[in-house]
Amino acid sequence: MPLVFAAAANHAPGITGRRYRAPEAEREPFFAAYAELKRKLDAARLDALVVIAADHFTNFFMNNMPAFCIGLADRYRGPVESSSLLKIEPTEVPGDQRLARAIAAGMMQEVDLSYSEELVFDHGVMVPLHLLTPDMILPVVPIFINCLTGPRAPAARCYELGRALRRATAGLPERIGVLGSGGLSHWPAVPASGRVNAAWDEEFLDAFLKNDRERLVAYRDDEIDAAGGPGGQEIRTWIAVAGAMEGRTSEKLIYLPIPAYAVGGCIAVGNLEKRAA
Amino acid sequence: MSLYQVQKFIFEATGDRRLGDLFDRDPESFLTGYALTAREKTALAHLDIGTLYLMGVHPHLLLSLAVKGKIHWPDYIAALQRADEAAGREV
Repeated sequence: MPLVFAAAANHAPGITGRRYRAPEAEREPFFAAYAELKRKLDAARLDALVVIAADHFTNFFMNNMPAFCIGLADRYRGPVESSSLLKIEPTEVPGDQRLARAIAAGMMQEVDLSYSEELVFDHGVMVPLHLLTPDMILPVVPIFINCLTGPRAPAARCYELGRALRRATAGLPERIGVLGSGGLSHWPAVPASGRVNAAWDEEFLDAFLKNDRERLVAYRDDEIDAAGGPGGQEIRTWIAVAGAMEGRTSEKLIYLPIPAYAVGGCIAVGNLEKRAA
Repeated sequence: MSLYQVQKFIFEATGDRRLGDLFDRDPESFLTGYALTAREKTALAHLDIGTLYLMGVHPHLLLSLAVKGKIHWPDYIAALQRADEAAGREV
């Protein structure tokens, strides 16, 4: 059946690791928005959640860097970061090998994917799962997009990745959702850490909410680096979700710069029944 | 200058606990497994974050190395800031 849930959100490690360093005026609305997203996800009664995320040299290196990689395992471990840093205890996340193989086979009709049965999860997957599926019983199918180092898949290919996901899942009986995890502007692990380019974020978010393909696929790496920082390259995960929604719009649950988390807190959920104008 | 080898070393030493333990026990001999210049070996053996930063090591790898070396965040950022200042770079 068609995707029954689509959303995108940040995954900055500070969200869980430094949760209480943000002032209450920023922290409360942000976590309220994440709670609202959880309610919507629960209401969708998913059989599985496809998480489109960015890797952070946890699984991949430049010796063999996939543009796109889908996980085919029945279980995953995470997070790789220490619990003292991330405030998330090591756990096992269920996968669904049979479903993941079906999705991968369908997507490969249109896009080239690598696959792996050995993926482990870092904060890019574990932060949103910790907040959205804390009991870790919902099977996850991870898809990683290389957002780290160039050459990366251009924005248009990421949009096509999402389209391929939508088509691949449309004929399956399971109730499947998709979550993009990453972005928006941020400068991780450098002196500019904590900086947020709210104007650039809002511009991107406007294009995402309207599912304006023309604007979304126009983003270029050098422009992203300059305005959105190296972490801004993770907008690819959102662009893929927009592709998966095939022109449907989204609703903003929150956008709020939170320097303590080194990111603009941003969460959006898809209106899967509404097509863009 | 072999940035790829520097980064490969960090990826393996921080991502694989067994390799990381080997490095902790005998950094000099562990580093011989990589095609590194003397300057690069010294920077890695001494966890010289600022020098590695100026070499162009990806910040995610650099932070992983700092975490492995128990270099705390304020000291890590201070090392990068000093390196930027020394290089005359604006942040």
